[in-house]
Amino acid sequence: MLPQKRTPDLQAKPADDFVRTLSDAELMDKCVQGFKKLRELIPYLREARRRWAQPGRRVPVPGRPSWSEWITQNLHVTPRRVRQLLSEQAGEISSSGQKAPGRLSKGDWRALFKATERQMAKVFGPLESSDAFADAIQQFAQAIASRFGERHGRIEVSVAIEDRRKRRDRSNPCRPSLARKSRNLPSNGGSALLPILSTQKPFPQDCGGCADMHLGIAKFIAKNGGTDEDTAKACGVSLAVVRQARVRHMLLEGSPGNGRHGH
Amino acid sequence: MGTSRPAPLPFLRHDDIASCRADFEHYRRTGFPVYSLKRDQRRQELLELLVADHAGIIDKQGRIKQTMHGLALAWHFHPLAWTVRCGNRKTPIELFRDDRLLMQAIERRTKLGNAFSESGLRKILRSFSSTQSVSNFRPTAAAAIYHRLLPREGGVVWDMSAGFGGRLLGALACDRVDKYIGTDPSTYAMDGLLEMANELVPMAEQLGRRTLEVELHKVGSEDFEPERNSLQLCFSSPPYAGWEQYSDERTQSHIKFPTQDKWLRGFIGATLRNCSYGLKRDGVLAINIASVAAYPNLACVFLRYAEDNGWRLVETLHLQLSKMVGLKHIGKSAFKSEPIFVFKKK
Repeated sequence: MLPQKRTPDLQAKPADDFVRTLSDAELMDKCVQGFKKLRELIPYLREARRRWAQPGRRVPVPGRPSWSEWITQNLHVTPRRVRQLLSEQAGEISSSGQKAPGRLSKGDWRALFKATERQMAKVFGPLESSDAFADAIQQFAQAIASRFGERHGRIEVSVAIEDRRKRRDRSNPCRPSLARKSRNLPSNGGSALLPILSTQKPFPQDCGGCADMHLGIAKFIAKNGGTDEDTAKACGVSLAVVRQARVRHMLLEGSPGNGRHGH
Repeated sequence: MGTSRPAPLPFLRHDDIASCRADFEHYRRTGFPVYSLKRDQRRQELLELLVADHAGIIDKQGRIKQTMHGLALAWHFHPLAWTVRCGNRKTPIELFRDDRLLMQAIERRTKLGNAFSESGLRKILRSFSSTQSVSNFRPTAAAAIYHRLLPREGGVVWDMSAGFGGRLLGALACDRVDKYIGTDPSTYAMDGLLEMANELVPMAEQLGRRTLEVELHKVGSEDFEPERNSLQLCFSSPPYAGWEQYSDERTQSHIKFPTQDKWLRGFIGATLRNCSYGLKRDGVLAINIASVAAYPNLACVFLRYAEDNGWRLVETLHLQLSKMVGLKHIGKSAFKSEPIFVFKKK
């Protein structure tokens, strides 16, 4: 009697319907059971991600890790690996093992770069001197600008070479500097029909806003009072940032809906 | 990867009061989630607005679809918009100040199942029960309207109630606008517009947009007389008869003209006369106006008034607004919309 050919012991993958019926605790157990290949856990991980991942959550809660933190702590792999596995399962990897090119959309030059990286390496890779490289880049960019930038008028592209090692340490341009020299901020003075814009100067060093800076400005207002214009001059920021600080920290006397301008 | 230790749950469940409490405390510490962009973020937002396909967002039925490019940029320069009251509703700031209501808002937002972030909180602060905040005109919608109503060779635009800068950004995004004239009596709005223009016009030029001339005047449209026959398009969204109370300065139209009839004749009437004076013979007037709770037939009254006073309605566009849930089954559109009436001189 011939020995029977043994069929490989394939483990059946759980159906999505089954996975969905699991309670949170059961699903958790399935996801973290030891010594299993991660690939076998894909259906459970997919369901776990569907239930629990909250992209964009920024609020740290002690003892309640985010999806990424939880992966690192319990699966001992990186979140990137899990994302890779789940996308692989969704059929995003072609049979040859190469990732299918992503969709290209308007303005998304990163996707274009990724899709054509290999071809570009052939063109730009072997250039040895920085001058030759800069020249090639300039011509390439100029060709794109001339071909697609018609609606914006003539665009001239220039490329500069800078040695990073020689570059001086620059302070973060976004850091607020309250000691910055005060600038002559424009005031519209209440004159009714004066064309205002022509007398204005731009705010080149305005950093925008960040929570820390808002807090600093709010403390400054609470301590010194004064108008928004005075505060903006003293803190070296734009009027918009001063008002953001006031709204963020509820220092709203004199604004619409509150105090003098109340309704 | 042992099973002995129970793994902590990687999520904030909607019924997890502790997490809502943590969110609450976090925002009490960090303050109201005002829009605030750093310079490179503003540049990126502007770039995205400039490359967005605004011309294609008006469909054959004249519906202007929603895209949100550039809105955050406009709000960055107008933080006090959060304090503007609409009718008798609460402002988002008032909601944020009230501990009980803020906690309820956070719980509701968490129950919706979306990620909790500053943006999520802003959304719920805008739409929570008995709360309303002012909206901004979407820059891409404005750009689409400029593109549709201005001739290919371009022209001068007057924005009669420039407000929070959505239409100024739209003018930046549309190459057909040669010059943008904005008027608004509100000091705060004008401050924001000035900063926008000072920063974003040169920035847009660096990004490849041809020069846009901007002229801003802190004055109500009823008192501004443009140069005769100089305008190609007058386009704005006026305050809806005091529904949105931008400030209590005396120059505000709802204070100057306290009754609905006075507002219509005094503010709208004078503005339309100034438009007629400034527009070229083939110039176009486009007005976004809609009925509100305090003035339920405002749109009809305005339309009749304009037609009786020398204007001919040539087209009505529909500005799509936010999506409403649960209307499909009764056969209504899922989107709210507001009309934009397009007139020419008779």
